[in-house]
Amino acid sequence: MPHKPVLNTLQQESRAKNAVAAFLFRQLIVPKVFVNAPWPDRHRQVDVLAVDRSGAGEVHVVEVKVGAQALRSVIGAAASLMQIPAHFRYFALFDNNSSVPDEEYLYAPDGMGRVGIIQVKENEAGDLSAEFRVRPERFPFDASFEQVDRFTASHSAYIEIRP
Amino acid sequence: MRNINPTATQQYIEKAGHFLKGMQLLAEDITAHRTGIGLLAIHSAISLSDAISVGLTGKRGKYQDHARAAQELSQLCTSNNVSNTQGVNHLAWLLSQKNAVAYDASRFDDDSIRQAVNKADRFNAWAYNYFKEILRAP
Repeated sequence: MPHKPVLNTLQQESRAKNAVAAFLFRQLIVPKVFVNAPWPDRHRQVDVLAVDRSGAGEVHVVEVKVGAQALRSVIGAAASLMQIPAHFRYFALFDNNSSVPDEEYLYAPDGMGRVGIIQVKENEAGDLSAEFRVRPERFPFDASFEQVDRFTASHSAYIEIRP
Repeated sequence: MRNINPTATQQYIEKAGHFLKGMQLLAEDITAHRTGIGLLAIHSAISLSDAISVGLTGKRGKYQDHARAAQELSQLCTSNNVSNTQGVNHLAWLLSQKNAVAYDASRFDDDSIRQAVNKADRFNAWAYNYFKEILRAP
């Protein structure tokens, strides 16, 4: 199924971020979900970031790749994704292709952690859905929870449950 | 706040998470699962409340009357300077529905089920926001 031709790449990327944000919101327990999040600092932007358990839990980061080159671009971006502090890291592919990257690009060099793959699909009605193609494995967290608390206190969540 | 029994806290958190995810899954079809949804909503809140109690005091309440759990949580809010007690209201509402959901002959209606799901979600969000130091995994 081809993507809607009237939408440009930026629009498709935003749609995919929306679908991924909703997907993580369902997968986790009352998470706070952010899009285009400046994490871990203002010099770096994460497409989708979710902090489980309303900010008290684990950090999940997602880099979204769209279009025919999505799968190939994972190879170049894998090392960079590994540098972002998070317990769980993912690529989300919105290319309506069922291929997944070679596993060598998904594992941490020391084996502690595997990048998850989220497949975003569009059906004939134009509705998007997301599902795991590769489930993630936990990485050691190379930041502090104080950093997480500062982030969640100073940024508005895109999706959250209000207490 | 200091957690004096992090192991037991995490065990109650795990139970609460299982109940909540079960509730969310079943809530996709209210008609087929209505009583199960309600009961899981209530037990999710009870388990998370127990996690807070055991973390702060080392023990959970053993009540015949579960309504006392809300009173105890209210006292823990006071003694730990948690001024937002919205979560206590959510818990009290859920506990007040326990007989209607589990034991009474009458059927829990759709609106009440949706309200129970909403209260359970919001109780979880409240607990993780205001007792973060207790509920965060070590």
